[in-house]
Amino acid sequence: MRIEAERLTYIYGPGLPWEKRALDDLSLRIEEGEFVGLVGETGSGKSTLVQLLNGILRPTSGRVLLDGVDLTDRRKPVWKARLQVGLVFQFPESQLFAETVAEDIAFGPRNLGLDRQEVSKRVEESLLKVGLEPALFRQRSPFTLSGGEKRLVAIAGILAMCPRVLIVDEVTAGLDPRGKRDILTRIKLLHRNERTTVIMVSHDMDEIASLVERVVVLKGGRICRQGQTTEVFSDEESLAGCGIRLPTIPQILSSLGRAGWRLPVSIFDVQEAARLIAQECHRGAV
Amino acid sequence: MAQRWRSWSWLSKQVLEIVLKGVSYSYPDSGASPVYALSSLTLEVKAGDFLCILGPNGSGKSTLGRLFNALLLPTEGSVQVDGMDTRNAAFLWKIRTRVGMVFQNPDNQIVGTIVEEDIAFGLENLGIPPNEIRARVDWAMEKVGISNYAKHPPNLLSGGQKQRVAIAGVLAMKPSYIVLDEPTSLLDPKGREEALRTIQELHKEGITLILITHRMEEAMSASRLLVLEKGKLAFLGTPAQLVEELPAGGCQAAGGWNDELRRHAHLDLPPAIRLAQLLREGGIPLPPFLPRPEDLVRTLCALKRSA
Repeated sequence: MRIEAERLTYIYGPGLPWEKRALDDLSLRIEEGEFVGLVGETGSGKSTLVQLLNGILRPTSGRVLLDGVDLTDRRKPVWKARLQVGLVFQFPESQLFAETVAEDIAFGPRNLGLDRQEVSKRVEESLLKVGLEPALFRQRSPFTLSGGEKRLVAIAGILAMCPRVLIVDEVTAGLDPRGKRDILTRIKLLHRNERTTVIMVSHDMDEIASLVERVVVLKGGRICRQGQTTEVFSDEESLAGCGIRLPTIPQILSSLGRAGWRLPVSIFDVQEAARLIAQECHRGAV
Repeated sequence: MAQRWRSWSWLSKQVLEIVLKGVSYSYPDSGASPVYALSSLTLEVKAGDFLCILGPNGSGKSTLGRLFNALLLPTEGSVQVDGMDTRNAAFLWKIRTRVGMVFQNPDNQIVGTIVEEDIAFGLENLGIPPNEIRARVDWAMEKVGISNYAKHPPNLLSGGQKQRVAIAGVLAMKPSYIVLDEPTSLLDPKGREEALRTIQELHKEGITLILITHRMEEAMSASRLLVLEKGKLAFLGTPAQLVEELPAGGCQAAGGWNDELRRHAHLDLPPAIRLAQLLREGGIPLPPFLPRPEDLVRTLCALKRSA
């Protein structure tokens, strides 16, 4: 599904003393099947933007088009289009409420008016998509699961709606390294196998660099920089101007570069970086 | 009076040590066969220590954190703070003032309508004279760098600023120990840096710190690391020792006795440390432990210059 944001402006509390322009005339186009990273400082407008893309918020001005359907059109029922954009909020596990995992995941599809069979099929499929064995998890209470598992169940609940676009906001925050790895692997597979368009909001540049194809950097409600991941993460100075740091490995390479080493900056793979640094060392006969 | 609280004098007057002996904890109502969140843990935290507690979700980190200041009492074994047993209710308030707690979400522990009022809250409850409260609040705000926000409502501050308000509130109680339970996990990179810098400053001043975290980058600056796995001690040693025992591939790689620890505790080395390990394996003569990326860059440049 293609998403187009056209000249979006969003103002919180218009006319009030604390009025805030969260988005300022922002335009963005995301093609079907893309994996996009959305980054920026706190308050740069990331969360506002994803809520507009899913139609939870209506823009003060501008339009959001999903495959050409205008989400902001008040004359047409647009809920069907909205359902295709699945938004996983920060700490989505706080939304778990049902007595069993299966019940919880079934909540969304059931509200779509789907029949019993289709609902249980979707529950099974979503559990498999997030890597939880249905037979082991279906009947468990969500509240007995680990933090990482809870979050996977919450994501399964979104996937059961069969979204064609998946937006995840700080999806690994507060998880341990294994929980993190599990979730990121699942998202990567969804993107690869189902061709789901994925938009990932994160503060962790190492995470962004290891996953996404394109990075969009926001600052003050506008796009401050965007492009291929390797391109955006090759220019420390312009990124710093957007309030963003390079991922760890490029940061090291860039520091070495300033000290006179001849190294490319936008390398995200540790082994590749080690190989290049060793090469330079041997050239200098360390 | 005002001058007295501008120093850290209270720290040197006490014999400081938290001692855990054979501590087990099972949450009440966990059924017929109790599930232990912690089992037979023995540990000493000495004055000046910076202990970092690592471990996967559900390994007992937060339970352990709450045992240090009698928010939880051990099911078996004992916890002693400066010689005071946490099970003895008579010591409760003394223990709570000596061992301060900072939680993950500052919103959960900020109660005041403006910053300085919030920091004064604990002191007011202790019945401390107003002029001394004033002095201590000013001092605590200065120590964490939020004096400029004294009259601001906390809800308008950023996450990093709020977490520093929470730390100042604890600091004003003159604690010997501060337990921080994932204090940075809800903060953005800038806020995390602010909070970490404040934490490291406190340690330099002599406060004993116990930091619970998932982030190995943060753990690298600690003096000792404790890794928990299913409520049991899986590792206790310095960051350098831990790095030495974890191969560059992180927990997916196999080998050695620590294989079990790795597989279950799920530790990932920070990228800069893995890079250093790979370079060392490739024959570049680097020292065995370089905690921060800056250290790696500096060492590499020195090597190149001397070549």
